[in-house]
Amino acid sequence: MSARPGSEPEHDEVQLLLGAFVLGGLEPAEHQAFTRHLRSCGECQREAAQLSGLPALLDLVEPGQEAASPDGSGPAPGGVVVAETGAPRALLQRLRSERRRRRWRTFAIAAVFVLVAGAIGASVGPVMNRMNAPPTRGLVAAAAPLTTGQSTPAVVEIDLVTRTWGTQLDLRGTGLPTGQVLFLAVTDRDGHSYDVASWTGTPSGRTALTAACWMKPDDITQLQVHTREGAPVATATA
Amino acid sequence: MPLDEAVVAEIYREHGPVLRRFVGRTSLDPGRTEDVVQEVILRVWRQAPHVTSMRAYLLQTARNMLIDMHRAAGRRVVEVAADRDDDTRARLDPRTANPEQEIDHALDQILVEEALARLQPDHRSVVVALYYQRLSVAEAADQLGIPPGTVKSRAFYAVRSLRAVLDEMGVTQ
Repeated sequence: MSARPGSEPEHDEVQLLLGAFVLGGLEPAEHQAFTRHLRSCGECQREAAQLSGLPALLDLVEPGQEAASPDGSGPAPGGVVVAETGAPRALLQRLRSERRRRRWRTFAIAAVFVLVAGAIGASVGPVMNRMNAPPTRGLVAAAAPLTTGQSTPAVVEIDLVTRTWGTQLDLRGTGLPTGQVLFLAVTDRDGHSYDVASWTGTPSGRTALTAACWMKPDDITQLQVHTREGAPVATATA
Repeated sequence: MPLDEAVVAEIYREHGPVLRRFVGRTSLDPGRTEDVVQEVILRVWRQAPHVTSMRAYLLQTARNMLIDMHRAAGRRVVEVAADRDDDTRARLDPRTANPEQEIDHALDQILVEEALARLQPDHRSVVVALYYQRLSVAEAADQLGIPPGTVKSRAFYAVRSLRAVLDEMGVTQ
């Protein structure tokens, strides 16, 4: 709260007139009282300035239109075929074909890493598939126990895209630990690891981001999502 | 992954209607409204943004998409229009002369409607009485059956929350 001007004992009472001053409807005497107060009160001046654009905005709306449904929720329009989830079938089909298309694109230009961590069992742990534009091969990486804040197995997909400057890493993860900082580390042929991205685990456990690294995809021997303490969340070894 | 489908379905249920309202208010062929709405939702799903207002983000994305579509379709029309002298352009309806302005106008309209819809009903009826019906405080008090002091305090809190909601949605005017 900003300090109350001590010289204005009726400040609170007069300040309340600001709403009707902006919207209109004050009696002439009150209108005068308010404008007089406004001249001497910095707080009210600031607030009136912030609200000065409001009438122009309200003018954009026709009276009667303003009573739209509060959250705007509602069904799909007539003629749209809807799935059980309430979303149109066409939308879900586009979502599925989009995922296929994405996979195809990465097959065509680079390689795909899929990292799966946790929960399957202490001895199985994360599974990694590295799928090169043919041939495709799958590898199993070392186990990583579930970390704090992680309730479902982490699934991380990383597309490696060859760039003239190195490798673009498009990461999409679900079931990642929430509320803590995570890192994506890339290891080269000499065994040196470099963090190429860091982010905070989102409440949903979902993250999509793009990282960049100077190494060529073929020079990357390991990808790992790990915590600040270095605990692996998901690991893939080439 | 059915998770994605659940997320997309939820976005569609919650925000599809407001997106349709916005897109439907532009000069876009009404037959394409649903396509644009679905494309907007897919685009935002792809980006998985972390934003305070998903609704505002979806509407902004729709606005950008509409403008891109318009630029792609209308580049030649704009070039022709640029050759005209200023008088000719001034005589044109500003909305048809500048479809980007029309799109922004529709977006602002939708955002203000949203902000009004999010007011408490008691506060909204005071805004309607004072601003849209041009009633005085005393007349509004009479019509709503509340003391004049309550009209004033509701008006005060109503304009404050309108401003806050509009700020949150990125309306700076």
